[in-house]
Amino acid sequence: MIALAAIGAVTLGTLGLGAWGVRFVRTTSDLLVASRAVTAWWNAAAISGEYLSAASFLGIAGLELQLGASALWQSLGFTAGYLALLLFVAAPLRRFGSYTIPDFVEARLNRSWIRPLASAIVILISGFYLVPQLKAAGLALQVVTAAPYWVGVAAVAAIVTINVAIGGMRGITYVQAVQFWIKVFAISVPACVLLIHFGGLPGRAALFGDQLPRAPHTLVVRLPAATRAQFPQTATIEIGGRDLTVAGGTVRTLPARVPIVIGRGTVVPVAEGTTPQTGATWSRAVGGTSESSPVLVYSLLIATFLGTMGLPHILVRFYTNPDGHAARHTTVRVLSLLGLFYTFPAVYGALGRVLTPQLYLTGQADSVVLELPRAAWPGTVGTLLGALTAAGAFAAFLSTSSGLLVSLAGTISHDVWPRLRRERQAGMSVRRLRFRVAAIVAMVAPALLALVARSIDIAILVGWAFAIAASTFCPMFLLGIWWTGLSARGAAAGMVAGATIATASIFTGLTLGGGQATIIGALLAQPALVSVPIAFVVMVGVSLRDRESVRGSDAMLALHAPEGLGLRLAEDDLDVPAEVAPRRM
Amino acid sequence: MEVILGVLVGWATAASAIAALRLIRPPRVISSEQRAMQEALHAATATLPHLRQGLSAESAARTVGHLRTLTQALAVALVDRERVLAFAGDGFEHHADAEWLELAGRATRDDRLQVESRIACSHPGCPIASAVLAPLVVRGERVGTLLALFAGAWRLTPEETRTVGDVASLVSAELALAELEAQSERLARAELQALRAQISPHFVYNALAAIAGYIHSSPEEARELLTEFAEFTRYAFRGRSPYVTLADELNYVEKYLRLERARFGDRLEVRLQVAPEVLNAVLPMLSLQPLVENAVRHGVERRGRGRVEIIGRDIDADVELQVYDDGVGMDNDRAAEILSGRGSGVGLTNVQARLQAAFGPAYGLEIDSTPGRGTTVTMTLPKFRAGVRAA
Repeated sequence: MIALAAIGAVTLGTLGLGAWGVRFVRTTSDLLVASRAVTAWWNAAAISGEYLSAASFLGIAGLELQLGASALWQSLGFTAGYLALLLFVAAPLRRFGSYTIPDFVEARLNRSWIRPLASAIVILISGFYLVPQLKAAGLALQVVTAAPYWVGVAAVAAIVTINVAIGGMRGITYVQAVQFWIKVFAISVPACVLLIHFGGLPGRAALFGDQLPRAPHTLVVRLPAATRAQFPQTATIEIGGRDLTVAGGTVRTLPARVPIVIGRGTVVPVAEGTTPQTGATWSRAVGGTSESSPVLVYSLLIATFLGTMGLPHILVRFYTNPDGHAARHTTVRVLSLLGLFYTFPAVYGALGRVLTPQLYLTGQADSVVLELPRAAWPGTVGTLLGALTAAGAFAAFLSTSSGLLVSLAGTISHDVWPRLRRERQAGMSVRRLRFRVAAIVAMVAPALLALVARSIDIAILVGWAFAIAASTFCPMFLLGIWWTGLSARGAAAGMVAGATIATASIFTGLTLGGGQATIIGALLAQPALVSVPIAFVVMVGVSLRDRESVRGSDAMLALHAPEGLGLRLAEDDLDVPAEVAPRRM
Repeated sequence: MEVILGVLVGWATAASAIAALRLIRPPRVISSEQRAMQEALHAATATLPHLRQGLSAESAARTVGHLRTLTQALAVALVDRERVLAFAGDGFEHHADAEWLELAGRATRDDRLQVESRIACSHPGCPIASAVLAPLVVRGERVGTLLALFAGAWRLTPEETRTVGDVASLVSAELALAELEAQSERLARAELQALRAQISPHFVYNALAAIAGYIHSSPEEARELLTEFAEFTRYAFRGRSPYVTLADELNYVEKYLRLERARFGDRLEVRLQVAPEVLNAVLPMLSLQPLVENAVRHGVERRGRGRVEIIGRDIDADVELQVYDDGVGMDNDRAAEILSGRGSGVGLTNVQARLQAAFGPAYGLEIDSTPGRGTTVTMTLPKFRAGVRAA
């Protein structure tokens, strides 16, 4: 109940903040104060707020619980992506002035036919990214209120759609910046309180030693569906009042909705598909299990490191920076803010392994952040802390999915719709109406997919969105910004190749079922290691062969020439307070 | 999991079925005429983007090969009034540029083709025997010549000559389009010049008079205002780029308003509400200030007091700027007149023309006004448009 109230408060707060965000500034001189109030820190918090999604808030801790420390590579990659953005993309892109990715592609390559392709990829990436957000929402509401899975999906889809369609994303910089700090608060406070309560990490043998996770006290588990469970060691559990002793290494089907009692100190059985690990293998960063094979880890790192720059909803946030210099400053601050946030999910994974090992049996590792406080510390404090993490998780879904939906609806209403109707010139009111309709239409497919994709880990779903971004827009940005020879045909061929290979591998991997034991299996699960180089090679190769390639010298100048070559009158003036003596002119 | 699998299998089946159908269907036969037509059309369209940039050595070099395909000549050259721009045709490099120019010089008439059927080349084995000289004429003025060279002892067929003539007309038409585009850009610049010339007299007089009023009562204030005034003019007459960021333009509006405040004092109430996300949008220089000046002139000046509001909204990929005044207002006919350029006011018409020249007819100004209830002028612009760049 408290959790539901906290979620409601966060949701209403988000909606209200948008309305309140830009308020009237009475005098003219306040305008300059107001416009300069969007400092690099505000911008950085806004970008981080939009970026930190369900994958960061719930997914990483869940994956860590399940796979071990190797899952933390994901948080590393999520952060390091901004390093790539800082080094290669942020400042030139801001100087170029483009708002959306299709804007950039069209203007840099100077061909209008490539715009629909870029728009299609934006839709693909945003759609892929939206599914795990909705999935997480369904899961979170299920944990908090025991409502069916689809209720949460539908609720968040509806809230986000209404918010975006009625134009609730005004003052988005402030709203997202506040959201960021809500998330940091919601994830850090429970983590710190729990660590203090337990006096550091308990059960170190299961984390770093040779122990398997054992029940910290008598656990009573009710499975949502009959589950095949693997018993790593001989254990005696009580099912519906009858004792059952199972030998180590065997697999048993446990019934649904019957209380299963696991006595204190008993090694907890794990759902089939999850590898039982001792503390030593669990805490190994690479190579502990097949899921942390070096190929998979590197592929994931490449996807996240290079994929961040291709996320459509993130790049539009950079538009608020006044110039390339400010864009760099903002990105450095984003790195530090994300670094701060990502310290905490790791704590939940580790505590969850010791304090809520029943999640290994239920297979709902993604809910560890939500369940841990209540399970670890029964009573008012645990309930309050649980409400806090639930509210933070909702802030994460709302902000990221709103940003994604704005990108999706904008692309559909600006690029797809006019093409379908064969008309480009429509007035403001028509464009606004189209945007609203597009927002509603765009939510349908991801919501349906989220209902289907219930069994796939959030972090893995998000990894795919990153893989597609890394195999399409990343080579386009890197070559488009740093190589004059990139031709439109080359860029198109590379993006199509990257998108096709990445998507095809992901779906093939899905169809064959998650066996990642071999290198091929790992690459099917996370194809970036293959698809990114192929996209680069195709782009360079086709561009070199393309004799019609246009040297984009004007575009290059716009990308790389420092600002201030032109007259920056306003900036000089801003720095001089009104009291100073007459200006020398 | 099963559902995903089902969807995938269904999708794959459908895709295979479509592919199979396409394979089974008999291939469409393309006749040789159709093929020739296609090739010609392709060559013609391939010249378009290059010639749209005007006649230069670069654009000529990119198009001359296609022109050769179109004319079916041995070699084709594009010549302007002074030099040979480009040349296509293998094995004829031994002809010096001077020869081409001399040949082009033989075309004396601007309005018709000329056939030179006796060309004697001293180079051994040179097959060229005749040439068609087609003038390229843009707006009645000759800008160059298209030379098409043919082999053979016989006279040229009329068809060959006519083809060269048609190709020359095509090139001329494309060059005329390029000229038109360049002209509309010049026009936009000229309009900015016109605006600069006409905004100020009224305002300059009032501002200077107001400053004069302060010189005795508060010299410090007067000095500040004069500084503002100097900066105001510096911005208005800067000349590098016709575009500025909204932040720069607002800064300028602020200076303008401070000078107006010197006149009206507290009787002029100004409210601003601009989303920080739109401050980096790029718009034609001096396009917001005339709207504000208009609001002050019609909304405040006549009554001696009033309120002006400037609102900037972030709407997806667009920016919406509104300037509102609570002044006398006007009826819809007059508003329509102003926007269409038939009205007496130059300021708004000029802004509308420049906005639409930069962003197309989907963007620009809208006036919403009721007599006695005030006026709202709404300006919409995209957050990004290729080629529109500040400073």
